Amino acid sequence: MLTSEEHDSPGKDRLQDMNILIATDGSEDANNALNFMMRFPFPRDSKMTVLTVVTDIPMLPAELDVLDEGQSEALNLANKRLVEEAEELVAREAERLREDGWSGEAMVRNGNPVKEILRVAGEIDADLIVLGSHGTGMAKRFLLGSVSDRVMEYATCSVLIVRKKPGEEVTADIEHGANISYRIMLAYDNSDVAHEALEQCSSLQLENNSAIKVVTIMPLITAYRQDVSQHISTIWLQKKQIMQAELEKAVGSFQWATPNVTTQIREAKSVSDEILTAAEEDGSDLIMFGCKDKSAIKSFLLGSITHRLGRYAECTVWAVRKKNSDKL
Amino acid sequence: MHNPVLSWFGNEALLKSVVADQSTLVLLIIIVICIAMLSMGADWMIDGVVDLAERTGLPKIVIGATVVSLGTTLPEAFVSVMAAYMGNPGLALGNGVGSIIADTGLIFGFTCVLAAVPVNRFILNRTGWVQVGVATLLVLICIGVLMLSESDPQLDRWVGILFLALLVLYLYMTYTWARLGGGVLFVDEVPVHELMSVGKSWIMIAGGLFLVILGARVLVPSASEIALRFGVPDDVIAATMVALGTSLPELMTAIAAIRKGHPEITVGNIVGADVLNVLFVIGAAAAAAPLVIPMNFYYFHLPAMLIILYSFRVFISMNKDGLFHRWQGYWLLGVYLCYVILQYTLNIDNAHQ
Repeated sequence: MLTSEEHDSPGKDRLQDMNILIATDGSEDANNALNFMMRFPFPRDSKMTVLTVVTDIPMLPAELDVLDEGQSEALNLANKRLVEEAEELVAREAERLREDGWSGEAMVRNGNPVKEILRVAGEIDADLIVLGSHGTGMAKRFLLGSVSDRVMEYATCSVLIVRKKPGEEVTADIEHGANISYRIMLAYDNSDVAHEALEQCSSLQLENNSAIKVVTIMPLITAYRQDVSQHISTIWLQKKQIMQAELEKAVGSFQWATPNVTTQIREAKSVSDEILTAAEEDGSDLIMFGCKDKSAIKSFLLGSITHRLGRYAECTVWAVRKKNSDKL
Repeated sequence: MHNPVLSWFGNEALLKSVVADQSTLVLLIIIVICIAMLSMGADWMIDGVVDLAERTGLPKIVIGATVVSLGTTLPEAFVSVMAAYMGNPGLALGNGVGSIIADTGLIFGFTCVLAAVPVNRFILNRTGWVQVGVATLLVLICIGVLMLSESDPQLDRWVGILFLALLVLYLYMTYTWARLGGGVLFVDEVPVHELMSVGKSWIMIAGGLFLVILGARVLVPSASEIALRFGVPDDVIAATMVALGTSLPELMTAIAAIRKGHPEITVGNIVGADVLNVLFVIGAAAAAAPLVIPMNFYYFHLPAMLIILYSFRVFISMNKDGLFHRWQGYWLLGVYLCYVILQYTLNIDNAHQ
């Protein structure tokens, strides 16, 4: 019996042993991410690994040379303290996970946060990397780059960036399985990876009153107001109907935990901006989308939807990738 | 007029002498800037007019059939009218014919090579025939005046007025076809976007018009000067550099269409632009001043245009599977390249002047 059930719902099957890597730095945002994780209806037997990355106190080689014995000892001590604190942090967080009934492991690495997160994700063969988003200012982000941005961009597995909606209070006190409803916006474009996102979303054991909105954005050409001609073109109208039919067919091919699954076709100049607008209008808690990896030059020239959504969304974002997809 | 900019504008001789003083590199830069101004001005104007038209409650279908399609041909039209006025008929005619060749050969060929373009029978069975029809009409009139006139053959004002009358008819027909296409059924579904204020619309229109006129005004003498320096005739420059430059709106929308995955938009644009290049661009220029037809049009430019348009037509009837093929794109691109290369290498005009 079990096998036939498994056969019927391949999505649920796959999610049964999700391997999740949570990167934390002890900040409020990272804490927020952990809280989100514990509440979210991931399969109960998912394996969670809490990772923190320690970066040594930055010193120039020339500076290291002139340190006397006492100073270098103090430096070593300080670096050791950092590692100890990090170990305490991850142990504490892993314990919180275990108390909540998850399998939680702790891990500390030393080095560049982005590189280490990606390396560990590779080592433990993670399905999903979870991070909190620091609302870094524009200038700071431009100068320093953001860890979540870069993990989102370079990871070969799915990435979930947890972001508190403005005015939202996240508390960890809610028991697992308590009645938490989510409003999920899923951006669908008929690609393989969008289908994957749809499948993953459908396999979530969401509460009955959760709402899922699957949106397809059709891009308009606004230069020289071509959108006006586009609207009145028969091919465009046919295309729109085909897209609507495909969207409904794709959504209909899965079984959903909640009855509130709606579809929508939207037209806009910019796909990523329209997804953000739609999510805002809908008050979404989570935006899910299939992440198409582009080559560096292509994403530089064309911009990447992943990148824009990761940056500018006001809620949590889940970029679904086909695992170990090659970056072409 | 003491303001130097204003006096350039009115004073033909001054404008020409200023242009003649510039180095070739500066002239090329001026040409690029002029072309950018033409394209940007057209964009602004369309934005302004479309918003005003939407405010009056004019159906989108009418706006699409008139304002938007005329707007993208505006740069060509202004350059040609300006050239006709300034006494460069070769430039005026060359720009119109050259734009058809550049649109269909280069831009459409390029789109076909890069993307799978569906054959939209609805457009191609209607506008597509008008496209071939008006181009053939132009060639027939040219041959007619060659045989009938005793002096140099020229397109008289009556031809211009005939073309402009056909233009009105054509615009009305596009509107009817768009309605037949079922567009009107869906218009209500289109989300209303925020309109600009009336004042801003007018500023966009005025600013756009200013850019288009200024761009055309300076482009024409600069292009003639470059032509003179390179030892190539006006119409060669017009049919290549200027024609490509003024087709910038078509090129840019074609690139945007490929990028956004809707190459089918390009087919309608190109076919519509070809019709407007004859009826609007050559029509307006001939109505402004009679256009003398240089001899090389008879044995070079017009045949090149017909080869490209007729092969496009043949491709349409060949493609039963509903898609344009990549090799057809290469063919169109190839014909376009031969056309450009032959012009410069054969230096076509000199033998006959």
